Amino acid sequence: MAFTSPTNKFRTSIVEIVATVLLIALVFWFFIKPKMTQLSEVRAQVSAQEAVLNHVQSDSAQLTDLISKLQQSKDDIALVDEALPLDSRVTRVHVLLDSLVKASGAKLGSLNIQPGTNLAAGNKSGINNKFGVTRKIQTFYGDLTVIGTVESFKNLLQLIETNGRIIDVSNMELSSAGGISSFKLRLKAYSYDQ
Amino acid sequence: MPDINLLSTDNQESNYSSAGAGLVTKILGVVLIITLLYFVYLWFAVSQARKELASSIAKTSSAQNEAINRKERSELVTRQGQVQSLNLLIQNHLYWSYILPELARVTLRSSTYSNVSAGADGTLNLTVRAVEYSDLDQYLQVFNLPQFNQQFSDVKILAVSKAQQGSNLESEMRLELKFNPDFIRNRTQ
Repeated sequence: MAFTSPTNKFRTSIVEIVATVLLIALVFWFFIKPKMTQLSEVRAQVSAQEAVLNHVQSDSAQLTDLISKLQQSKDDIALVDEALPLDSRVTRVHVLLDSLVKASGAKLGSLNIQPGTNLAAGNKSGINNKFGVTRKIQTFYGDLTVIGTVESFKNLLQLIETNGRIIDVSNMELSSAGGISSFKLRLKAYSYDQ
Repeated sequence: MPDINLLSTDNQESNYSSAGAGLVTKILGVVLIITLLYFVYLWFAVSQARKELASSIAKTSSAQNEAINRKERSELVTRQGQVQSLNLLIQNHLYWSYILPELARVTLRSSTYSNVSAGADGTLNLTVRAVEYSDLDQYLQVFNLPQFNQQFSDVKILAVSKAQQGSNLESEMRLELKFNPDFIRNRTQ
């Protein structure tokens, strides 16, 4: 029968204690601590991603709400389309100004509007994908000359200001010679097109 | 015969110490096991958190794609741009019909205009006619009065002359002045 003295047993135990403490320390340092850091990082990422998801879901809900409002605002959209059309058919400006001049009591002298470079009609891809293109304000410059009284000219200015389509006057000129008053307007009309 | 104690008292103490050390070793062993179990827990927790992250990324991506691919979205974006552009145009829209009554208000009855030219930058060119030079002089004095020069200022004479108007010879003056563009901006009709 092997006999181990208590002193040896004690020494063995001390070695075991030291070894176990060392092992615990090593496990903690090389395995637990990095894993804790990793867990903390991944949880932070999860938290950040959840915030992004909430934001996207909130935006998505807002989008749904806006689409719903858009679908319920057909009358308002028609007014916006009248004020700033989505096409560059400049002849509509001719028609409009001609009618405004007639309504003002003045007589149309001349009307020249630069048509711009955009397609006025027959744009098949644009017709099929009306809202899939990038748009910006397009400006048409023009000159309008009318003959009439000061009162009719004032009426014309008011009609231009109050009609449904935005038309800006950048310059106006009134001249009177030989009892005939003529009025010349430098105009800008707009569309929201490619 | 007396009993002889062959074991020293030191050995008994060593037995106690040895037993104590053994207990500490066992406790540390338990601590080690707990530590290892905690590591396993951490491993699972990290794995679980990664799954959550992947799931969240997938949900975000799905929600984004769903929002972007909604067919009504392109119309909405276009309409938003259209309305923003329209607001911009309305802010800068000038209401010229307000300038003529104001000009008439500051004009003496003895004067008439043969030419009026106005630009959006606030420049106004006028050709004023009156019978006498004194009428033209009075016309200019009006612009020094505070109740009349609110919207017009900086009157500059470009030329003064006599011009034939029918059978009459009239005095004519060409002027350049400034008007306040804000006066014809943001007007509600």
